[in-house]
Amino acid sequence: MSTLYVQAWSLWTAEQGPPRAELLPPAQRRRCSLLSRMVAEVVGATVDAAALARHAIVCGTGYGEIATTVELLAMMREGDGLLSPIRFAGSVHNAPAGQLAIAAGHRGRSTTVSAGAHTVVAVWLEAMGLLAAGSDAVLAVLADEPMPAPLQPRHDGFALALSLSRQATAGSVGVRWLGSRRDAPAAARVPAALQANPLQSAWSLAQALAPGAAPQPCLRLEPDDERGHAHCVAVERHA
Amino acid sequence: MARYPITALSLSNALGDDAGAVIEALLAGRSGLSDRTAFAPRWVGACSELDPLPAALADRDTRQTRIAARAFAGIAPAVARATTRWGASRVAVIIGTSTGGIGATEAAFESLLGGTKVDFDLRRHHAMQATVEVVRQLAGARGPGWCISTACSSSAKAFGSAQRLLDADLADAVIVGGVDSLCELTLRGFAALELVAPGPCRPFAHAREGITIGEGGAFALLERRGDAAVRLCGVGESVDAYHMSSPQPDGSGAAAAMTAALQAAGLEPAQIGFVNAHGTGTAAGDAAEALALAQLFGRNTPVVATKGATGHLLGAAGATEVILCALSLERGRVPGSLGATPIDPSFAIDVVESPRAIECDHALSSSFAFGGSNAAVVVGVA
Repeated sequence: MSTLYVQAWSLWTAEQGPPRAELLPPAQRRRCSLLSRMVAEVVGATVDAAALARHAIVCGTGYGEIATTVELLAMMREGDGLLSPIRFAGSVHNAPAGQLAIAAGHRGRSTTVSAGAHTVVAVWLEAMGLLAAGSDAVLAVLADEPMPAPLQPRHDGFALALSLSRQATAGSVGVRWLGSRRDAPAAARVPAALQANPLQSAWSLAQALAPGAAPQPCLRLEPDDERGHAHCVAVERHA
Repeated sequence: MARYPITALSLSNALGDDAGAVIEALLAGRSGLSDRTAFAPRWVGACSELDPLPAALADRDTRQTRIAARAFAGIAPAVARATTRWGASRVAVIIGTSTGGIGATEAAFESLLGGTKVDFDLRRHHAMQATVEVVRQLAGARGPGWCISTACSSSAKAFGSAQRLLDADLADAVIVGGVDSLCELTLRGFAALELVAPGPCRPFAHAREGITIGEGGAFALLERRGDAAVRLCGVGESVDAYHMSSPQPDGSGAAAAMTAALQAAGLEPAQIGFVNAHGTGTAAGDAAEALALAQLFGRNTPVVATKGATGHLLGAAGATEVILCALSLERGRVPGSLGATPIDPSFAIDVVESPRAIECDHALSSSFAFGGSNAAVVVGVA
């Protein structure tokens, strides 16, 4: 049970250009934030509509709809200070999950978690909990958009979706939960623009899943805590 | 599923600083809502003046974390016992919140734009995890900790996550709760949606005009084993897939969450002694919920809405109302639904208007949110 198998995955980074997010109908897509389109992009590239229906969804984000939030804060100090109702409803952390559900008609389990630099750990534990509780498959989605001015520290955004299940299949990659480890190896360097992104360990995980990547006996999912412990996984290859 | 004991619980909101004060005020029919201009010229359910955090946590001192610390104090002795019993690394923290520290960002925003120096740090003040970190520090807990953030269902869903952590043997005790704090952004946002009542909110009333926003914190300590008056019996979650800020009008998403919670608890609707409804006081929300309740429970199950007294605690509403269910079960008495009279005659449900004695073993609390996120939680006497 401590191993989850990655059946399919997809990473979006800014270098790929604006997310096409074809999973969203055009009218809905035009109203969606970048974060929601990033999520729709990686989900659409990982599972088709029929497969999505079989998945419970766990979204993880450090700052959620932060660009929309900054937009609302700016509206508050301008003119009459009135807010856009659509922007406000779209400012909640679960907006990407809500948009996804509406577009795909997904009425199964769905949750959104936020835990700063521990968000990837939270998503992994939620996925383990849901699979242990009987979900066939979990779609784990990690996404943070670029941090907008005037907030600091600035960082680039990226999104990762992983289709996870308890059974190995041809081509799946096993990711074994190692729990909390002392003296976990340092993370591989992430691009400078992602160093303040709370999800940077998800970027490292994506690198380890890439075809041809070496197995990772111990990959940290978070920075060390006050005692030098960090939750880790092992990324194992399967034929 | 296992029925995990709720070995300690706490509440802090406009009705009182601790669980005893809150339930006494509620059963006495008192309202915590007030017309305060400190936030905006609208009715709110505000906490009494909050103490700063202890010096060791001063770098995370915000209105949000102050509320968390006050509410946490109610379960602190039991948590100390649990960390000794299970080991600190086996004690997890799961908190539902929708605002996090956005109030601090709001206060600092002008300075940030102008580039003037201000004591504001995105990670320590704005980020939701700051609330979890403060609770972990106060608790001495070293297990995993995170926030559920699905708007107004956040802290109801936190119970589902906590239960799965225990089921999967990833923790032995979970501090589960909800915390949200008043801020201009939420008040103005709900006003922009034309969902805020001009006076105190009136859930299920014929003349209801919208919500009143409140703030507060609520915590429960769930343990693998232990003595408790009340246990967590089942959690159900569903998604409307209908609209970002309006519920499915036929109440089917709400009914799906309640049905799933009953199934998880292994109970029939008739075994639920009363329901603490989401009951926010909006025209569409209450109507959809009343349809779902009528379909599942008919007129046989008393329904209470407590937001007329506490306000809508948003991300903290779910945990607050689960704990109110537990306290009502313990006392054999449910509060009245402040502001509900006269009740909307189109609702085919039994809305409790004034405090009522009850004899039952189980209660259900429901929560619904933006993004069509629904959750229901069943608790029962041990």
